[in-house]
Amino acid sequence: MTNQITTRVWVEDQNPVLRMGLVACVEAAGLTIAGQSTGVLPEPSAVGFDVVLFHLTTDRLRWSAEFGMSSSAGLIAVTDEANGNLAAEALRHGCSGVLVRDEITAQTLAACVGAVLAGRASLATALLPDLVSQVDDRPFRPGWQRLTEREVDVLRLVSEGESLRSIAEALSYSEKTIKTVIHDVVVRTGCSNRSEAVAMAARERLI
Amino acid sequence: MRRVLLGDFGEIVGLGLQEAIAGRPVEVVGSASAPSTVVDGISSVLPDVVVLDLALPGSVELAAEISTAFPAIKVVLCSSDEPIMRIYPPFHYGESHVTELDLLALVDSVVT
Repeated sequence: MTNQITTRVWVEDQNPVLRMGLVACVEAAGLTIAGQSTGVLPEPSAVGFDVVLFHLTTDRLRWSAEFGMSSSAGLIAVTDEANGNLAAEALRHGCSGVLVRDEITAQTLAACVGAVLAGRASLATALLPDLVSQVDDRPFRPGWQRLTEREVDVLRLVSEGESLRSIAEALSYSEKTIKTVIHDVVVRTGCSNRSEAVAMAARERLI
Repeated sequence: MRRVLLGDFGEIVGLGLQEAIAGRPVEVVGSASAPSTVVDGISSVLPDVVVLDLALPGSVELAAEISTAFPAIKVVLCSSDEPIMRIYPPFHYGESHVTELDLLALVDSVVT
């Protein structure tokens, strides 16, 4: 269990006024400032803090990934705007938390730090609409994970407009076998017909 | 005590500004929540310095307007985006110059 009073935060922002504002917010949240810097990010090997709160721009993602891999300190990125893509990139590059600058308050900051120290990711609410709209909302069809190599070969040729006979010749099967293979895929994946099965396979990038 | 009127800033920048000038011989006489209220605010509190957000659209025009209408007032604009600031010195009637946003320079520009 973490004692909030001793949670040490390093604050960085290239803009000194923003840096001071973040520092004030950290202190208002009841956390301790381990140090602060303007335009200079801590080395991955640096110690003395539990969390780094820094201004994230795309040119800093690489540092973020390296730091995230080498340091045990939690990384919280502050973005200028509510950009879902940048937030997703931040999470992929070592950050555990992403906050939007204009939405930060002492409460949201304290909650984010708490979550990050407990090993959870934490995203500013303002980022959610953007991120949720990117989620794939196609229905989940379990059969798609288990296409055999033969089924893939057949479906690919069907998608190229080949006739059953030419597919049979190309793969050295009988026409009846080809029909059966197609039928099995259609039934197993819950499609209504062969065309739908081919279309779904293409969308799933299986063929 | 110098009287400072703070314009509309985001919470973080606002906090930062207040921290920066805390302990200095300045008195924050008001914070205007919208550009249209800044001019009204000036007439009622008569500040020595007005600080505005450079990143807000229309702030430069507003600064020029204040600088011309109230020549004795210095206007300082600082940005929450780029680390720059624009200063309208008193009695320069709308003329301004841009410098790098350095915290000491910012505080100095407000305090002196």
